[in-house]
Amino acid sequence: MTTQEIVGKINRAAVRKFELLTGIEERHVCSQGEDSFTLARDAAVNCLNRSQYSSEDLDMILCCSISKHRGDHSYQYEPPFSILIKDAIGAKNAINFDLTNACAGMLTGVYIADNFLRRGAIRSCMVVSGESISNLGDHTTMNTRTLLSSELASLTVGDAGAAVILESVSDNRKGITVSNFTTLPEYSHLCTARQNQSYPGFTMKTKAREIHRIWIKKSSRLIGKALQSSGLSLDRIDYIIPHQTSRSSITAATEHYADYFRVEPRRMLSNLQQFGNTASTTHFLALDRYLKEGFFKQGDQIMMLCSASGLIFGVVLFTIDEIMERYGHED
Amino acid sequence: MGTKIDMVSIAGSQINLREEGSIDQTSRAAGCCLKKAGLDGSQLGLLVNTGIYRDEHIVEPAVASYILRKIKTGLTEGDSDGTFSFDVNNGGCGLITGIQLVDGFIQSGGIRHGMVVTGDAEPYPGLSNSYRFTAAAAAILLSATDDKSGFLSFRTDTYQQYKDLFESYVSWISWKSRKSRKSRKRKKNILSVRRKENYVDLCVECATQSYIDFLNGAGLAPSDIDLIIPSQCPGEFVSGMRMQLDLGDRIVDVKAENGELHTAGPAFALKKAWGDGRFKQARNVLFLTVGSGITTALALYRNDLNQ
Repeated sequence: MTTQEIVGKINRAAVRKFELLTGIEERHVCSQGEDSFTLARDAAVNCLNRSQYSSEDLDMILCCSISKHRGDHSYQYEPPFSILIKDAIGAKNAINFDLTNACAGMLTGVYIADNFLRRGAIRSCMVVSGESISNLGDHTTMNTRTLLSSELASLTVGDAGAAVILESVSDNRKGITVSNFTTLPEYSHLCTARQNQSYPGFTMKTKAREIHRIWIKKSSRLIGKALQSSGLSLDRIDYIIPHQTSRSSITAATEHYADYFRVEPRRMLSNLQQFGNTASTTHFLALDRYLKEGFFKQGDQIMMLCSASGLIFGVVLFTIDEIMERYGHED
Repeated sequence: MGTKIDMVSIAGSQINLREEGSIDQTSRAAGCCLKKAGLDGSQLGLLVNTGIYRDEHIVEPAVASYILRKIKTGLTEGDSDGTFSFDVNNGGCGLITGIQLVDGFIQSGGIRHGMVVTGDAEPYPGLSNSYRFTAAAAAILLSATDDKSGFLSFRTDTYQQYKDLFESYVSWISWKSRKSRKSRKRKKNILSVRRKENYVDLCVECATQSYIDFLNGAGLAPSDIDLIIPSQCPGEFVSGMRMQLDLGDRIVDVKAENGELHTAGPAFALKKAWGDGRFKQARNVLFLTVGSGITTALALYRNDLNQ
């Protein structure tokens, strides 16, 4: 669905301005029969098909969806989504649970999986999420007359599923080298979503500018610590994949990091144009796209940055390895 | 290095009859837990919330961050790494899953202290079908230890052939207020809880199987287990387990005084056994939890009785 079709319902004249600000021109919207569960399940199946794993090889499945829409249900609490996905893909040997951490969900899953893998408690883990959130925009377009609304961020979201399989490696220089997360709870009120009582589904209210300002300012320190742990400088990071909220926030972050670290980040990747903000799945949706396009080469250093309601900040640093071959690219 | 239970606190149920949401109740339990342990919130490396039914069906941010805010933890960056937080949903097994996660980060040396909190309350009072869990919350403080006490092993099993026996969901349905006879039906987001009749029996059956498998895996005989801290729901789960395994008073039952406790149930049982001395006098304590899925999660905790 295009930005014209969504934002045009509120203010036709503002469509271009919205596109310029956010960088979003279109986003995927669930079709009939699709929901958070099917998006997550299909992503899990695709991920297995591209990997060297069968479903029975998986030791752990973590489902990190914020939205848990299934069938006619607006939201499912129990049983956990992870058991439904485990059952659907036949991962009978995996332990499973759901975790939620707003848009930091999948990267929080990676952080937990990394801990289990490093301790040898498991050998493989699938982190999966399905986000059916585009209906947030329906409510906003019906009730908003101005683009200054606190619900504006609801117009940036799109639906998507993503899954990643993590495995243990014997060589410490490969794979994830740093994962570092923190919560700044004094800002937990800046972005909230809850079930609406006068409309099906959620309502989300966001103070987007304030969140971006705090994120840009405070994430520098966390990035600095991650770089220090890895022994790398910012200009040794080949690609940074930030949480995909808007082009303006990614541009502002790039400028701030250049100033803070006194070196230009090599490349900040954006995946907003076609997908919008897909909540917990944004980093892996972008990673998948750029892997498919053969963007990376073996040995590239990738930094994923998360900023999420909470506020949650996180950094995951990893090295591109044989995954290129699984996407059909020779190094 | 091991992980020991430093403190347990509970809130809600019969203890406090004020109407309180799950976030306030859980924050109260968490704050009390820290205070009793004499620990400053800034020393927490991780806070995991495992409660399911939350105020106004909040889905974002994670409730854990609200609780951190209320107990004034992680409010300043300082020189420490601060506190990280997130929510876990593993039905009635969430508390043990949360403990397993905190234990993992303690084992790897990433943190010295972590807290698992949980709390459930009807999200919008009166706007639900068949919701009957007692509003209750709990917090368990876990710390690194070099002595012989602590968690030894964990086990999780799923019996997904029974995944449809217990379901809860919010859906947009026609609803008539119970408060007024004259009110018209209006559509609202309503929480519905659906249990099949054989759910309790099958929970007992699955938990029994997991109990046997756990003991076999750990090389223990049933008589080696001195105390069992179980889930307090569904329904007659505890009495069913007592009868099935001939456990007598080795299994802690708090249902009579608290009603049907959901995710906080095992913590309420732990608090009771902690208070009457049974927990500290037991060498081997087995946490035995069950929930929707059907999922079972078990953990073996050992006390060093020579201390």
